[in-house]
Amino acid sequence: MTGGARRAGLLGPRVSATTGVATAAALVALVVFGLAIAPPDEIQGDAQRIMYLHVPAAWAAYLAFGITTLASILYLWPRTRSIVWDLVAGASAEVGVVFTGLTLALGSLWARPVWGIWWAWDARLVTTAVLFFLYLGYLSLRRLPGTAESRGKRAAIAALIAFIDVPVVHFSVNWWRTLHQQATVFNPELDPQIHGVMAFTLWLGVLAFTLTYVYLLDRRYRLLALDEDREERELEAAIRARVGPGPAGGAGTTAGTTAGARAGVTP
Amino acid sequence: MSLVREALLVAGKDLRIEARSRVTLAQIVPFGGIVVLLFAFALDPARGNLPRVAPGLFWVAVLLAALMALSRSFAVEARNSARDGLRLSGLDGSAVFLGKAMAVAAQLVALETVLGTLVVLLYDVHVSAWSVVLLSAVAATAGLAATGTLFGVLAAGSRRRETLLPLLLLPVVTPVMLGATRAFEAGLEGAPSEAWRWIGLLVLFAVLYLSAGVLAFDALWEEAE
Amino acid sequence: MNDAGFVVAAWGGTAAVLAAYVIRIAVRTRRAERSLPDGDPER
Repeated sequence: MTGGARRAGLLGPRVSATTGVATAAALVALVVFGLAIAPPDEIQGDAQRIMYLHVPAAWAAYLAFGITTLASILYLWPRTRSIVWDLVAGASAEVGVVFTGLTLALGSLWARPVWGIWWAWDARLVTTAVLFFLYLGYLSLRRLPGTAESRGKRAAIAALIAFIDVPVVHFSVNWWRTLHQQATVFNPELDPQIHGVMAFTLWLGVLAFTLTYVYLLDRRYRLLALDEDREERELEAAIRARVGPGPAGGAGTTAGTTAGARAGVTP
Repeated sequence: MSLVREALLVAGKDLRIEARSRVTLAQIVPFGGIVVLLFAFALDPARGNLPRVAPGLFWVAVLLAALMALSRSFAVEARNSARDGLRLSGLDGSAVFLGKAMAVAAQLVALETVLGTLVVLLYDVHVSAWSVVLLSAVAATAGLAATGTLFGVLAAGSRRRETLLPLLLLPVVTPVMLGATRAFEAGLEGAPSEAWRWIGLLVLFAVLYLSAGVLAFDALWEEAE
Repeated sequence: MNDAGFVVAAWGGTAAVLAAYVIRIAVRTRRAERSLPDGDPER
């Protein structure tokens, strides 16, 4: 694949710009509905307004890690192997880590006024925290040096290894908490009986965060592709500098002399 | 040559290196021992906490020492082009994975024996169901060796490996930590029936990652620099 | 801190985090674009 093709975003400039506008509009609508129009909760009062961010952020985080897994499978599958999937996996994982961090922080800010604690050893919380570190490790692994191909393969396999761990972590943590704690202080955040405007606001939040995810994924992908491209060009330039002035043009003379002088110094 | 024989060859090689260098025995096991002592300093034995939390402390100590053993397991391949030699030997990647995991498991068993004895003696722990304790230890060791070897080679080939391995491995092995600790607690408190689901979890984890290693190691092994 | 304080912290914090992330990406993208030999292909 040529470098130029990768320099565009995932969605193409026009779709990308439209997504940006739609994301901004949805987020503004969410602010209006979440903070002004939706009534305060009967039991939790205003604190419940944090739910309109917390639940969508968690959804976006899981979506992001799901896309990372999917892209990793597509990368490993010989027929669909393309660096595009590797970059999508990396971009999605990073956006996912940001959303996971947000989910944890928002959960904490919500737990404190409602339950009186910053953190509960609830199965879902613990699983999310483990997920956060799991994908932080994945991102660090991606930063290891290596050729695009070796890095891609390594990262894709690591993503799948991390992914099969998620259900195991979830079940083990679930058992652990239900065995040692008879009744949980709280029931799951999402009360199925919420009505009207509140339910609408929550769905609006999910929509807004999904759009935010798509927008961020596209932008982050483009940055990864640009960096990848630049690395390739710098490598080529370094090789040219070693071999001597190639078909670089007029500026080649001075650059060539400097490179030559440097080469003379090195034993 | 069968897979098992190839794996035993690789395991034998790693254990021979260990027998000659004594790094695990002379450095990693003593490190685990000092961690066991440190926990006692941190948790004041006079308050009677130690027997209650002994299973958790034991497994944390094992995990920390295991990280060192795993780094070591791939550090020996990095020098003298040992990895290239192993690759050129024509051994199957799956066999290399199983062999290295076996060698790591053998070292972990040695480590667990010493640390377990220390914990029983120093923390005043009474074991009521040995079968549960031993079985869960075996399953947990298999799971740790499998994931450790898999992530060891994933992170191999870089100078940042030593610092990356813990970050990669520790989140993945949370189920082992949980399962082994709960099973040990059940084995100590005399409620072995509660341990079986945890042992099941540990076995599932070990099987999952042993299969993942057998499947994926060939590709990773080729790519490692 | 009362409930309103937590709500403000949560919404404000989320806005700050998302904005910071978008800006970080944009700045690094701009830097990468400047190093392109043939300018910005998206425009």
